[in-house]
Amino acid sequence: MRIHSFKKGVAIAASLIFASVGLSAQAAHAAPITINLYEAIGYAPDEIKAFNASQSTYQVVDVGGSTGPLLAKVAAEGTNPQWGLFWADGDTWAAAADTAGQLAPLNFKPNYSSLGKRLAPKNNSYAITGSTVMVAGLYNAATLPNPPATLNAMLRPQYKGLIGMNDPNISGPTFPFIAGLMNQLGSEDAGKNYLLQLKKNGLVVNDKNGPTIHALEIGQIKEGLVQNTAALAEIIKFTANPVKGFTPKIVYPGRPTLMPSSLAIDGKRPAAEIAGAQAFVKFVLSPAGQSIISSSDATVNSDVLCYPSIVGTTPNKYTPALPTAYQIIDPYKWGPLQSEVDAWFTANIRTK
Amino acid sequence: MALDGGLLVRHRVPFSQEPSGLKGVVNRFRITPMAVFWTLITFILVIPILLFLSVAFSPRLMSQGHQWFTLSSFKPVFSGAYGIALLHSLIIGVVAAVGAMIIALSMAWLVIRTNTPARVLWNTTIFALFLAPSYLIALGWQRLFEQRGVLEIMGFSVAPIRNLLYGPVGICMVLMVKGIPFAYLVIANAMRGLGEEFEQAVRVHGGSRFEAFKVMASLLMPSLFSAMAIVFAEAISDFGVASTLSSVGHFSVATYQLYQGINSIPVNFPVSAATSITLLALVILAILAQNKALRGRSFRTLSGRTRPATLTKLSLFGKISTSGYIVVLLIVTLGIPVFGAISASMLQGLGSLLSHYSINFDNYSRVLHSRFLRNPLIYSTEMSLITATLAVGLAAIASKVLTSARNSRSKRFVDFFLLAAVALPGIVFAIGYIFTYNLKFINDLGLHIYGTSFLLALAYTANALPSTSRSLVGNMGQIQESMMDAARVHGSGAAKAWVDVTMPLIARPLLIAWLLTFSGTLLELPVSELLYPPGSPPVAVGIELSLAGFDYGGGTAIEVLSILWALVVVGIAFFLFNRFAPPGWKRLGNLR
Repeated sequence: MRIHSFKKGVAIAASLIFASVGLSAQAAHAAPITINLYEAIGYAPDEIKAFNASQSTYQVVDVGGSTGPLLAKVAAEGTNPQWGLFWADGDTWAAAADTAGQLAPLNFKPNYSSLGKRLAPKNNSYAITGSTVMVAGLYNAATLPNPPATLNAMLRPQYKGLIGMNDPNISGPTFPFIAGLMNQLGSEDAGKNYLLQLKKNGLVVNDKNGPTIHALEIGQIKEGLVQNTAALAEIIKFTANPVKGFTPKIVYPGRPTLMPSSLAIDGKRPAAEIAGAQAFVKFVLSPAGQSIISSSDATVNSDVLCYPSIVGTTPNKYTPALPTAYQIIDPYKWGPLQSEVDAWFTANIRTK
Repeated sequence: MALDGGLLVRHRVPFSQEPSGLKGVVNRFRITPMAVFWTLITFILVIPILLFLSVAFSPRLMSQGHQWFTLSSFKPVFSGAYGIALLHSLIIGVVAAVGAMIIALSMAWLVIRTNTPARVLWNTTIFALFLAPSYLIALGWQRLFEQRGVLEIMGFSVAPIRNLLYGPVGICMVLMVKGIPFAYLVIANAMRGLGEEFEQAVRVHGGSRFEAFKVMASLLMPSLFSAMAIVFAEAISDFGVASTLSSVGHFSVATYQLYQGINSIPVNFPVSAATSITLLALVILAILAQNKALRGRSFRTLSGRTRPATLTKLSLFGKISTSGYIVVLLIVTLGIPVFGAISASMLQGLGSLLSHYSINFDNYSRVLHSRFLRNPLIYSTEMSLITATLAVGLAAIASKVLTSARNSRSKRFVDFFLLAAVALPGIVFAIGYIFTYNLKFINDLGLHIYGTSFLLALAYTANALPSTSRSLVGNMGQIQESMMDAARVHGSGAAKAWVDVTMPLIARPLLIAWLLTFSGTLLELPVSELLYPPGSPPVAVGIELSLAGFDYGGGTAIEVLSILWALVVVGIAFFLFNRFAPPGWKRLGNLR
């Protein structure tokens, strides 16, 4: 490439960029104040629509996607973040952002239920909008009438090769399950030993909820350890259209972990945007925002099958009772271990 | 001026030394196609890729860590397990590339050079093959061969085949099948421009039919290597197929490490970048192999006097056997993904004919009103139209650079970065874009292009450019440059000479490249997911969101409807070309 060609190139690029900037700059001056919501929650678009209709000062704009790519997007944006709000399953990402000093704490005290209070961060640095269970043991009652109901039971020879789970490297919600396992068994090493024994007993690892549930449908496994909303979606589907020989049901082996959905505000945005973000969080946790959980159609949007965290919220009609025993893990303790645990899982469970 | 036929006009010595004032400035920054090309290549390919790779050595440069220089990111890469995964990726890439090329070459010969009856079938379905996502291909294979899958229910014992499918053989096969349509389009384009003079010469001098075929294959070398290079790069950057089919066989590939870095909390881009660098090392190996094979040879066979080849008349046995071959290939390449789509979107029950099932269009009627379909599909169509047009313009220049006789630095430079863009998974490429166009100092200057359709179009173009360019390499490599020189000698400017001389020779390949890019962009996911403007999701994101909500039937129905829409656009484009293009543009590639 000759030098003068390069100079011309720079000039052309600069003019192209300036031209595009002119357009976006015009848009930036237009009211109302826009706030980007990066979200991986199925009913978030309905919350956005209701919030935008309820006032005219702020305009929340939807940037929907899967949790993994959205977190990658946030990480790539680095010190120049473009998100005003982030809403996704799990709280380890929110705890990590809080530790890094990136979040603006809520400027109000949400009216959390007793469950919500247990899940919420003590410093009010992000909001808890609900929770799901990691994991539910989804099994086929037609072929497995007595599913293993404890962690030790899953290690019995009679269940050899019949248990399946997801890969935490690909399925985001699976790490809280593993962390919960370690928490329940007393240490990280005890959890790893348990997974090794499970592997020895023929554990089948698939990428994420969909393939694990499909493995159950075709009889490759008899019980799949998946997120409870995925399991409930399967039960709803086959309750509406029963199939002989396949009766999906849920069992909770051991003490499953409650995984909250977290809604966080970017503290690096301008003050006006942060104020709008606070208003949006307040709206989501208000009776008007919470009513979307109970009124949405769970057959096409399984995220509304969560356990509410706010006093007075009616759960969706398809949401079952909480497991009789469950645990809540500390995201500030377990979150930083995720990379190491995921790498261990790859080396010792997935690829061997 | 009139007497010199144009030559002196271009080379005359000006009376004054330098134009002054505004005219001088304008002249100095005269926009030439090459200047635009290098500018865009630099800004849409080179800088995003280099900035992403730089975090492997300097995490702090892009705010991804505290160190200005470190090699610690390479630690996982130098483990024995990763070495094996990299070797697996290399083997998968080579097998998929060579396999796809061989099958595509045979298909191109049958369809273009023989009167086999089934060639009509292939010609009408080739774009459907190209549009079949690897997700549906893998799904179709799974549904057929899984435990209590369709074949077992039908009474076949497929356990041994299943064990092969869930491992390296299955991964290679699916990636090879995915690569066949692209390889076919590249090779068929070049074969259409070849004529049959060279094969006739071999036959006249006593050569056998096989020797004539070998000569033809030798003359097609640039297109064969182009096809293999892209299929190879696509295969080594694959993650979804390998991950889906290796969960039982535990067959690791290099991209697993890369995604592990991206999916961890906090995200570990330095390790992903270090992994990407090893993938690029494989790309360099591919380029070296290609250069070694093509060095010092000329493949310029396409001129104004090139005559369309005559069809080889097959015997009855030949017609039956070749048609059987085409039909079997169609069943494998198109039938299986179609079955995957039907299984996922139309079959009610367990989706695998286990028992108690029915087939209906409930998911389709439901998603017609879905917020994930209409507006996202319109937006994706608009973006795909822009991208295809931009990419074909750039690809015409890139392919000319790639086929230049000299093995210049610029040629190697373009070759490397084009293949690098394919070998790096889309998500990595998109992250490079965020690094580049979300820099704070650029924003401080008032430049905000991150999160706009403008940037998304540039990223789509960069993403499509490698395959679009490679699809034209075979044809551009055949054009005899003396024709352009002759046009210039007779007074044509560069642009007019190109339109009058080159355009008629490559009009059809350009159309196919355009359609290839349009189709490929319409359902592109990784770049879309990370770079789409807030509030305007493309259709691929809509599909992803449906699947994420466990609405597998609805998500697949949207995918199938989008594919059908793309096929409608392909049909309209071919109709317009056949109806309105000048006769000379349509001559090459038609059978006599």
